[in-house]
Amino acid sequence: MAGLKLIASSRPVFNAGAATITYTLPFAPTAGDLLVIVLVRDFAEPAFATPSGWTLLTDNGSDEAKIALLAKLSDGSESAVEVTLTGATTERQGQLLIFRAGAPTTLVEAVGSSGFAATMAPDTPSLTTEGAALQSLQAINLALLTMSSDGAVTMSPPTGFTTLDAYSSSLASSRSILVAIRTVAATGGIYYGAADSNANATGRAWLHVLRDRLPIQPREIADVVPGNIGLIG
Amino acid sequence: MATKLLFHFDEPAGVHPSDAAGNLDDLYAATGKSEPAPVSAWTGIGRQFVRDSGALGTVLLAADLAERDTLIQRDLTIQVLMTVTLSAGPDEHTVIVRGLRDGSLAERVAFGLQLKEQSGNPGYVEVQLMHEDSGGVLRFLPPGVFQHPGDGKEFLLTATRRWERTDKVVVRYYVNDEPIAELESTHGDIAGGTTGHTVLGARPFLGTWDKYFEGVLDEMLVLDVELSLEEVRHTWRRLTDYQPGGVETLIGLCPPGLDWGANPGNNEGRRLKVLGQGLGQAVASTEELRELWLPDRMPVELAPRWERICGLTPKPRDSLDTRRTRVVSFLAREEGLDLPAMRTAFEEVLDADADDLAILENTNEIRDEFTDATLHRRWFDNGLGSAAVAAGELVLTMANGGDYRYEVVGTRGSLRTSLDTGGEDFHVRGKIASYANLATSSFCGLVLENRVARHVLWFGVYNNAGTKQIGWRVAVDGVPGAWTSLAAAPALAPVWLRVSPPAAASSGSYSLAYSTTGEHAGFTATEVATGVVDVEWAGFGLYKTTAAAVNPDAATFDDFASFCPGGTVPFWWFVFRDPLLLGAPDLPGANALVAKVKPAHTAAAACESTSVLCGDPRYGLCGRAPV
Repeated sequence: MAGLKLIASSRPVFNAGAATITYTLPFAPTAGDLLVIVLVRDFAEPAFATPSGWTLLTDNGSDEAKIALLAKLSDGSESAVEVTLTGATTERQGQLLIFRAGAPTTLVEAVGSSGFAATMAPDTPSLTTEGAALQSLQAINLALLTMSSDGAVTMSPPTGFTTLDAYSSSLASSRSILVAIRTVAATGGIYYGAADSNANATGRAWLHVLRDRLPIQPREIADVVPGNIGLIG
Repeated sequence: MATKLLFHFDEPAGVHPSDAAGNLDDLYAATGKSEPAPVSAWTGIGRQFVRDSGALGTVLLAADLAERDTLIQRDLTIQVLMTVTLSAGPDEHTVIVRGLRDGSLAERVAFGLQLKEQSGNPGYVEVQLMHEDSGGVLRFLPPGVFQHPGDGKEFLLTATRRWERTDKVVVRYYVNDEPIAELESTHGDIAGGTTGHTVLGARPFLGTWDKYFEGVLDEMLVLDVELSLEEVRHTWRRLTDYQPGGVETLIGLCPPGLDWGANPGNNEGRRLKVLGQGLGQAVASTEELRELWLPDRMPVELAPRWERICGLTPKPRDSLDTRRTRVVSFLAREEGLDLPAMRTAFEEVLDADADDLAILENTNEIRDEFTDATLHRRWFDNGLGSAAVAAGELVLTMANGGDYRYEVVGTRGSLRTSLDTGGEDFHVRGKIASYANLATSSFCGLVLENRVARHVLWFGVYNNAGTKQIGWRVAVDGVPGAWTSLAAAPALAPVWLRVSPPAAASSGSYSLAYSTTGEHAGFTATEVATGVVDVEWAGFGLYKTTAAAVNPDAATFDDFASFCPGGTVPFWWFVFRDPLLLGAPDLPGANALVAKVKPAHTAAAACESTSVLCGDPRYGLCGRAPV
């Protein structure tokens, strides 16, 4: 049925010494599946080499952190993918996603981000991540939420999202990430809402609206002389 | 399936439109509104609806001939041949609403369909089903989106609703023959007035007429079932392929010299079209039967027949997809273990595409020549030494400084795999490739075990006080026996070993054969009564009989094979779903389906692991996954 279908996801391995982050496929993709890499890193160190055969879809962020999305149509033979970072001295995190359907050229319909400050009030931890609404053309689109924060913070996604992965690591510096997804299920303005955290922190959240294709345009049913058998009960 | 409403709108001017299904009274313009005028449309005549331009808008209204005739609170299909005029303005276009929503229980909205140009995206149209819940709240279900074909351009629009639970409704939208969206909603509380009216062209909610439709309604069909993708596609093919094809066939069959088909607009041309479309419809009916009668594409009205034939009972809210899958998988069982069909059968319950599911089958013959760089996961390493593959051979090593005496059960530094003997005979063979470093009081060779009863049979080479000997030793009920030498071992390997059933059946007796010549020649066999019965594990082992820490021992092995002719594992199979796949598999449900569809002579299970899962509560604390 129409729409992107997320098949599997996996966590990459960051090698601080070699300044590499290696994404291993969680599941053998079928030729034609869409592979997407999420790469989160410190804003001060944005440089990385796009792996051969991959397309850089977006790369944005601000002081708190920066995110890149890369995509590739699978030929069914991929194994591990290595992203080489230059001058990496802080933590790199991310996720590899496998979608059925979709194409790198049309995948990202909209992207928005906002910084957040988590406060640890007693019993009411929250992250203020509410950002500007993104416009989603189709209700079948997927909303990919990525949150990144300094420190070892445990974050929970807003209502309606399913967490794909959430972890903290400190191989070069301490950083936490959360990757979550949901079907948009509505058109128009999409917000990613407030999430939860267990500690004081500052960070950045991104919402990517992903689609499998543009809406189709039906061809006209026409005849030079009207008069055809139509619907039958 | 019941046709609840069918509007052909083929009545000429001055005649009120009527419902060909016979459930509605004739349609009249609502009070203060005007009746849409007949206009030329693809089927001949349609109705031109216009928006309220001040005083008047076009609205058709009718009541049920008998109460509840058009009340649909569950599954639904609305199919419309129509045009929509987006240039009329940005407001919603109400196609149909069942229920006036005047605040009374009797006029609750059971279903409605509207279109709207998307805010901020000119030229993109949202199509959306709606209904009212029992509390009187109007619920809009998630929309599908398509690009506007253009004002005045006719297309086929289909919207379906499948009610599953009070908190789950599945909607699908199609334009022409293409699905554009499948979405879930939590709004499963669907009300509907017993005496509700049906309204076309606007909605009169809470006393205010608005959301007028502008465009042409050529034909409209409302059913109380969810049409499938295949049925929608077939309708489209009937309209666009078969019926025009019938006309072309008839024109092609016209006698030479007659130009009956030359002008489709004159009387002859129109007669030819009538006949040709009838011919095309007959072809379409035949093709529909051919395409949809088999259970993989069966429409909902055929499902009960197939289920009766197969002796299956659907659950009350099973979707058509689920019912198709169940019948297909049942038939696959009858036809044998057809792997593609089996994978397809488990698609829905395991929430994965068929291509991502695997059917695992066992064999009663295991061979490993250790050619892979890593050990196959069939092997269990007891972790009391180290096991690795190097140069195409298995290397077992004892670390320096450890205590590597044999245990009462098991062997220090052993690698083993399970044997499914079925209580019958078995054959095990293997090769000791080298034992140059086999120190005094050390053993290497084949190891057979019954770990429950604590029986072990060692058969191989032992360094007996500096003399390497081929022989065997047992532990029965945990009590080790003495070493029995069969022959002197060569200073250097290899030695080939075979354990086979004795010539005459005897529990606990085996034929132990060895060769220093080759894999297939030079064997010397000795039948021995060992007392080791019900062997369940076989592999290679390395151990010492002294307690002192010693220099490292190592031996290499190769060419393991086991064969259990009486084993039952060939009759076990597993539907394996990789746990790394996202989704929400229903393993208990999948195992219930396994029980239903599996061939009777087999045992099977659905699983998410390829390892033994004894004690896993998902499998009733039993090991049901592959070994």
